[in-house]
Amino acid sequence: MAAIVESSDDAIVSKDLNGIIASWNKGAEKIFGYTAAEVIGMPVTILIPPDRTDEEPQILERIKRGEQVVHYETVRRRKDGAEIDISLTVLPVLDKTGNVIGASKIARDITQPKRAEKKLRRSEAYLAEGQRLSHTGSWAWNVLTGDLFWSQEHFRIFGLDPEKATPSYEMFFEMVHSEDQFLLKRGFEKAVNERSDFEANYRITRPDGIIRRIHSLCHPVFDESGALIEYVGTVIDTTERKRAEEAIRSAQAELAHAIRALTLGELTASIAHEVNQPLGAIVADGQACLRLLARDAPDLGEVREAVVCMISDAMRANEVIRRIRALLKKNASEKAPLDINKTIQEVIALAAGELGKNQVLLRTELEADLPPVLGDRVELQQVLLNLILNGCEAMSGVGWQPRELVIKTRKCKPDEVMVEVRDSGVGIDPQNAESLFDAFFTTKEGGLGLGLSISRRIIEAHGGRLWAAPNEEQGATLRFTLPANCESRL
Amino acid sequence: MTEANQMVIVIDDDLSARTAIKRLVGAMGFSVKTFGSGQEFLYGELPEEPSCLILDVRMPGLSGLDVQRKMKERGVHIPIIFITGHGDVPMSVQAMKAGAVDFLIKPFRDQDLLDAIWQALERDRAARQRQAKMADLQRRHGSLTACERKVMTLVVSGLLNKQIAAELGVSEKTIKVHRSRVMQKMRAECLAELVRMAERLGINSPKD
Repeated sequence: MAAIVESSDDAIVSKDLNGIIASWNKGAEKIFGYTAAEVIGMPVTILIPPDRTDEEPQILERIKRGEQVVHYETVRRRKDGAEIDISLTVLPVLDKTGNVIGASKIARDITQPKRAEKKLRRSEAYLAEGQRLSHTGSWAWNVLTGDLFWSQEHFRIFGLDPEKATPSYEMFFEMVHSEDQFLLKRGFEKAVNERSDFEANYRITRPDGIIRRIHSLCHPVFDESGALIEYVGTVIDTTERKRAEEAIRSAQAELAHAIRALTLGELTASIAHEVNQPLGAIVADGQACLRLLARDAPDLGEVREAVVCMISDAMRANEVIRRIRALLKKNASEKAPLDINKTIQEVIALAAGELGKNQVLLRTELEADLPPVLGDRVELQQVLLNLILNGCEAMSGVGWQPRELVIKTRKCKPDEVMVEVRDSGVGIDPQNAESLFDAFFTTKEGGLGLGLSISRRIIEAHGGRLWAAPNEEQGATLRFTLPANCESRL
Repeated sequence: MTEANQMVIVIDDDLSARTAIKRLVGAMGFSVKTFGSGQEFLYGELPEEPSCLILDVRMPGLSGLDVQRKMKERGVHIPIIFITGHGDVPMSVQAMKAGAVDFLIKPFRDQDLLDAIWQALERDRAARQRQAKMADLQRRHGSLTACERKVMTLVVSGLLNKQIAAELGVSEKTIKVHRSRVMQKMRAECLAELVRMAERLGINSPKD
């Protein structure tokens, strides 16, 4: 018995009814830091921190009544002054007649477990806070038992009270929006069969009828033998983010439209020229007809020729107006397979006046038989128009040097088409080559600095790239790539 | 002089505009020549007959205003009627200041064009006449001997025969002979006419 007492890691101490220490084992030496010689005969209160001095009389009172104190968690002070958490059990010591003559105390150091518990509690609190802030809930689904665990935030996202609801596999799928149920279930079951990670976007209908968008990620957990135990995952409420993204997209579309209108506004003079050119020809031809018909022997062949020209010029004027309307009308992006060379020709027709005004010679090197690109015609026209007008403006400052704008297309990879707009203008400072694409960056007086940033956004939304580089000799070249759609030939 | 003997030259980069104007001007009875660019015209042969130019303002390469300037640099004085699809005021002012006959905005009334053509051709005809007269005058002046030329210069500067004789160190009689030869060769009837001819030839008195 004495050997057990001696070898125990717990402190085993006995004291009399006055609280004077009578025995002190090795465990007590280790926990409290005093040797037996130091404490035997001393009051037990030397171990008690000043704010807990009232504990000892209460304990003694209970012992005197013959009661036990079991696993009483409190704080005691070591010899070196450090406070430690202990679990205390105090038993009365009786004499042969059954009178209480003292107490034996067993104290266990629980500082480590206490600390771990605090840490755990804190990390749990952080986790819950993190989940709440990030609108992220977590779950675990035991594959064997079918038990489903949800975090507090998971309940909150799903609009349920954690005290009342018990999550289950079936309940979860019932909450998923009916249009998303089938695909989600099939996808998850497939992942479980393949023991693979799974990611999904779906909608849920909460009990209050509100629909939320959820993004979920999960992965399988295996035991040591490699058997699948459970799936753990997260659910993120992306409703607000999706809404914000949509708002940004629509704001950008509106901005792009405004810029388009602005660009066309700048082009008004050129467009008027484009329309007046055929109108002028029609009027001149009509007047020529009247003069020809007024002759004694009218040359009807020539009159007919003039009328044919009038009709084709009227069509041409109409085409210009139709293009402007098309460029102004559309807002939402609509992608369809299109021939980039044809799109370029359409834009050239719109910009012809501006090219003429700036005395720019336009040369095209369009590769034949290009695969179609998947794109929004109006948006791509806007980009091209922008690049052409920028090129024209860059060349307006070069005085008497030749002003040549070259538009090239080619297939640079089997599934990629590249468009190049090369000017012989003032060129670009290599330092500025990237900031050209920043919104509100401009080197032009009165420029808004939005053209290239919008253009880049459009090209990137098409899965392509747009960049600028100075030419070796004179001017700059802007290039963009677009993924080609080889399967659907036009 | 009939319309067909007068040449209207049309320069416009737009094919249908060019063709239509050619047809209209042709229907008016003039001879017409067309060019697709200013360069083509400037490097070609200049017309012999009275002519005028219908010139588009906006063209790639050389603009209409550039063509006007280049013609001036080369001493080509064919009157110009500008046409444009969309004209702005500063552009038309610049063109008119540089001597254009008219500035028409497409679409224009054919009567306006016809009026402008007549005015331009009239200008060219007058210029050609002036040029012919001048050439004739220069030829006559060229036929004078060195001595006669000196005498003419001094005569038109207002010197008397006696003064001229003293200046050139010859007898007054010799001067009288030279003077009558000058009047004869220059076909001047009186001194006033000779002075006007000298002015046109840009002869200044040695004292100035």
